[in-house]
Amino acid sequence: MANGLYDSAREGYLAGDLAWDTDDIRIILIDEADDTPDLAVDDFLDDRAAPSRVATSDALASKTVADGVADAADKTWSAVTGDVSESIDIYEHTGTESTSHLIANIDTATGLPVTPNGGDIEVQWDEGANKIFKL
Amino acid sequence: MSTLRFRQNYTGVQILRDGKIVADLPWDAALRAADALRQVSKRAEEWAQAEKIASDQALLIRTGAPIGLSNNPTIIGEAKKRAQHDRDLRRYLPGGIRSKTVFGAPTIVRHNPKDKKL
Repeated sequence: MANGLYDSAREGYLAGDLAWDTDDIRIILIDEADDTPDLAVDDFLDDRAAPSRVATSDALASKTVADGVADAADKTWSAVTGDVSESIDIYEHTGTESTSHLIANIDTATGLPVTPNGGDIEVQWDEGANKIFKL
Repeated sequence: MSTLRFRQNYTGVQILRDGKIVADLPWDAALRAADALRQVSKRAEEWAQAEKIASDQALLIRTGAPIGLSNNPTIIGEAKKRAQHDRDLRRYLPGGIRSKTVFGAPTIVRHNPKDKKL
């Protein structure tokens, strides 16, 4: 696969159900051996099998939307243990899995797949023009 | 409608309209006039085909193909407007309009575990 937006996120943005800069956006390390993301079918967090979620962050900070480019401050999962992780899900955290939109899956990044060793794992977003993603 | 004829006259070229000479040009001047006439004619043809060129250019703009069909700013401007607003263009694009979402290239850094103090 390649990095991509979930179709549900496209719908969410078109319908005005998602707002990158004001929603609580979080990221999850995904063990694809336990659940393979499907950008066309998976829509909410309850579609992501619990065993596949190796680590979940708290809210991304400093989110911006200028020029249709989604950006945020780099994020760190602390003291991560678990299975090797092949991708990262970005999702909207509502507190209820069945209403938390899956936004994007990133499986192409320097350092992926990553094998947790009990230390911190940090995501450094691209500092180029496209940042996290550009619509 | 009057008829034009072109006739060689030794080292010159004569242009006749309805049998009367309207221009008598040396051969080199006639060649330059022919070149100029061709260029002006091509511009006139472009203007006559402006509608079709604008439609084709709009389709190219929508697909992202870096090909220009005209240098005429009026035609290009019309093509840009159509590329932005003409919903019928979608019918000519196989698979519809592709998403232009692009991702950055993040870096995942794994740090070593912190040493536990004994």
